[in-house]
Amino acid sequence: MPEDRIRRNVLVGGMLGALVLLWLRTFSLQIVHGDYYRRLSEENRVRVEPIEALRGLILDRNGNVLVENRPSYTVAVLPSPWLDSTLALLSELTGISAEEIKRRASAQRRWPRQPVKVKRDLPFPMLASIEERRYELPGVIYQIEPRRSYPFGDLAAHVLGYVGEPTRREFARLAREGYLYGELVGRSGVELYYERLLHGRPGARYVEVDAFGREVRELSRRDPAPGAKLYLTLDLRLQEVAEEAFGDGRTGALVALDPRNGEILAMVSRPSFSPELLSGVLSEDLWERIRSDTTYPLLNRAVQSSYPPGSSLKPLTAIVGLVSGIDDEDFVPCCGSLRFGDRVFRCWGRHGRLDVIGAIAQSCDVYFYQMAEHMDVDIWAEYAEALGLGRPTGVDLPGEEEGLIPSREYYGKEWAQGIMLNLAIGQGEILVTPIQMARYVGAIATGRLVRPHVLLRVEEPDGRSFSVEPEVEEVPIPPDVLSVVRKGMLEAVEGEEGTGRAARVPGVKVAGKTGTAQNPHGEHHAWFVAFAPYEDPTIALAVVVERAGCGGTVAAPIAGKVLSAYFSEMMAGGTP
Amino acid sequence: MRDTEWGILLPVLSLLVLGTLGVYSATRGVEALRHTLPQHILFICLGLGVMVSVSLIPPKVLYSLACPLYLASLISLIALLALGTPVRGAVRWFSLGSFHVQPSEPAKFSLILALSRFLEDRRTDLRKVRWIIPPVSMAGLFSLLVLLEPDLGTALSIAFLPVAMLWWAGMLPVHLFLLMSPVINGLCVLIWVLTGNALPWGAFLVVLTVVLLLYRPRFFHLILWTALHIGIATAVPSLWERLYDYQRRRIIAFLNPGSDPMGAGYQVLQSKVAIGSGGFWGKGFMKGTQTGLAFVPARHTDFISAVVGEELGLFGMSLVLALFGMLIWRSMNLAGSVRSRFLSFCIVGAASLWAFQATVNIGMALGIMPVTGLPLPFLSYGGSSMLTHMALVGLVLNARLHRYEY
Repeated sequence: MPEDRIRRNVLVGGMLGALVLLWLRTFSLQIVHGDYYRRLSEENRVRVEPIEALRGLILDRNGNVLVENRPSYTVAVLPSPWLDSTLALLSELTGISAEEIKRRASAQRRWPRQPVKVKRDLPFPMLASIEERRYELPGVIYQIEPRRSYPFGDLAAHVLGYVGEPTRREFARLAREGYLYGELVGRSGVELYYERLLHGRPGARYVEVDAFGREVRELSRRDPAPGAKLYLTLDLRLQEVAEEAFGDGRTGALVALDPRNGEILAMVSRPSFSPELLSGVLSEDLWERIRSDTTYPLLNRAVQSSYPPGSSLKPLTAIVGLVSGIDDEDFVPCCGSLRFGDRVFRCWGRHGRLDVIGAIAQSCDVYFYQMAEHMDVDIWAEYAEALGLGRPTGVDLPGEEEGLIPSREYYGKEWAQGIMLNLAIGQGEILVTPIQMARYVGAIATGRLVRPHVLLRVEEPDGRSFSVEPEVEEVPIPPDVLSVVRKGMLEAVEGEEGTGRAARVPGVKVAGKTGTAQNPHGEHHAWFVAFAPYEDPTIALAVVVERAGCGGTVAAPIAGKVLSAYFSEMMAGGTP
Repeated sequence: MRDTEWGILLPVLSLLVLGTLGVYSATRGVEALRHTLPQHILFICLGLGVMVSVSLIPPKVLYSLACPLYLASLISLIALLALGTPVRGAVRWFSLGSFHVQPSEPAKFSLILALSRFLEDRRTDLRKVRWIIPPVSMAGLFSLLVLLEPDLGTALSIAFLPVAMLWWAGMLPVHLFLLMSPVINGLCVLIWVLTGNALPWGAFLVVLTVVLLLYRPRFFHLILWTALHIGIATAVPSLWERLYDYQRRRIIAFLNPGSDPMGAGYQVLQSKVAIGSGGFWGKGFMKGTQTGLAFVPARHTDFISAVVGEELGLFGMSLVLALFGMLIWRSMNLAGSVRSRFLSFCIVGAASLWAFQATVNIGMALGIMPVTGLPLPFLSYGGSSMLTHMALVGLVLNARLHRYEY
């Protein structure tokens, strides 16, 4: 049939035509452009040079740059067969042994064709001495690499975090996402949490090189796309004041946030570290020194450490007492201690007869012991969790600690009502983190629980930008109960008998609560939590100083300094 | 022996020899690949056994095996997705001890038999649209399952099968165009999304409109087809977002070579340098520097033609292409002359698969096709592929043996 023949011819023609096209292409590559490819092949002239993308900048809420990039020189050697003399001279000039260079080359064997980085961030004299003997060093090249730089030194080190080289195992995963060998990745803080946003997309250059590995010309290139710009919720000036107020000799943490939306305005953790020193190629002994430091400077105590809250928890106990309708009419006046069962529970002073407001203001233990006598621990734990204690806050920082709010079940057979008396004043098994406490005091201030966050806004290199939406939930506590507790906290700072008088700020009503948490390993931990202004709170903060003594004398003054800076800035027309 | 078709056997055996030389040259001195050559030879021996066995099975038995084999392949593809262990982000193999079985390869064989069985039926009237739907669905199902692994290259080769076979069965050219139009539409939209160039898509719309105006389908069909095309045009951009990063990079690297010189672009550039530097006679067997020094990745599997091109030059490449041409030519001649319609369709399926894989694979090494990871029949190292293609040769030889039977 003629139609069948046409169909057959079309089909066979298509198939054989495709093969003919392949042949023509082969002919073009091998004969027409054969010389070109032969030259590339014989002299191995093409080298692919990755171009790292610039990591995104990190700024504070007002656009002050907190982390930026600066150029640095890296000396590298091409992975071709090496002359021993080259390696020997290179190791003499840089102080990196030839064995170490070979070890690094074999470590990146799965990514051949990429230069082996010998020394990063070359000091200028070393650069000059290598340049002088350029012709004795075939295959040695420089790469200009961006390095992280921190204009404000150690400021907010724990929030910002640092960058470092990934381990081999991590790199195997990262390589699939387009990471280049030797690229730095976030290791902690915002640098780690928002790695995907900060890391741009690397580019590459094809360069034609001569037999010494020196560049002759660029064949083609793809420009890298820089990482996104991150605006943090931190306020540079407030952060500076907070760091200064905390001082360097102390251990502990401070968190200040906006209780209306969860924006973290300042976060301090002590002891601190230098992100500048850690970001880059870390020398073995420096890393060893940091790792074996028993004060754990890398730990962000604001989110990664938990402490018993001490008396700063009393507002919670008061809330539970008021909600459960516990009547303080027949409470005995405080005379320094209370007998319950066969145990004597001590108070830190003799307060006489008090109402709930006075009890919060003067932090009377005896009053709260009596509230706790009739309290159900599970209801108490329920309210603690409703105020965000003992569970992650969801802050956008890595490695958040959960803390612990014990329930009836936690104690099992060990349970006795005496335990409740201890928990009521924030002692015993209970553990909270400073960020939980800042959020808790903010929730008491506004009646709403926020998710604290440090990211405010992201600006992509292509101009798109998006802001972080606040996450807020109502706290299931009647407003009149909250207002009584707030009044107690106001008295604690502004009242004549208050324990937190050191946190007063002229012209602003501050409400707060001190805490002195017993520490089985030494001195007490000093706590202070506060919010202000009393009428319309815009800032909530928590301060803890480890093994420092009394909350009222150690922690409250730090909070006072931060608050007065915050309000003087606001008076001066600042942004908060 | 009289019935043996040397016009088919000779090119196949020659390609096997060339492939073995290539695998030998590509894996020499590489410790991690020292088992590759013995295994390749083992696969060839097994493959020859499979070829002879298949060629001796009575066509009636093959015919009745079509449905069970299709079902078995379907089950194996589903089981793979459910039970298989991912290797480098994809689930393509079942592990049987130290061997890995790739069910998508034998699925091609089953699909060819099943499609042939369907199309062989005299009642099948391809002038009617409703007869086109079953074969397209049969292949589409396989293709989709393979795409989910994900294995883009094999999925495309499976999707291509019914096109050639339906054409052979007498499908109208306008139907062929309409069948392919969703794919063309998707590609044009993709180009638009990636480059901002809407011209190809506009041109496609004009052609589609003209064809539809001339062809005047039923109103219901027209609505259906328009809806499908609108669906594709809107779905492609969001589908693009869901692709794996490496797939996206490969597609971009194909549409815009040089955009990804580190990844897929690197492979292709090195392969082009290898082949281009081969010249007319090549650098000589085992003397390839690009392939020998491991600059070309996957040189014993997907990029085997780079080894041939570098070491044997234009001469070697021409030989490979001529051998494929001869194999396809003789097979298609046979397809026109065998009396059994079933076997005729089987041959067309086999020949079009060889043509498709050879074109895509060699084209990829030459930098004119996207890097999809499809083996070169008879040359690439890989057991499942080798046995499947040898079984297909068996099918063609079978048709030759039984060429006078209806």
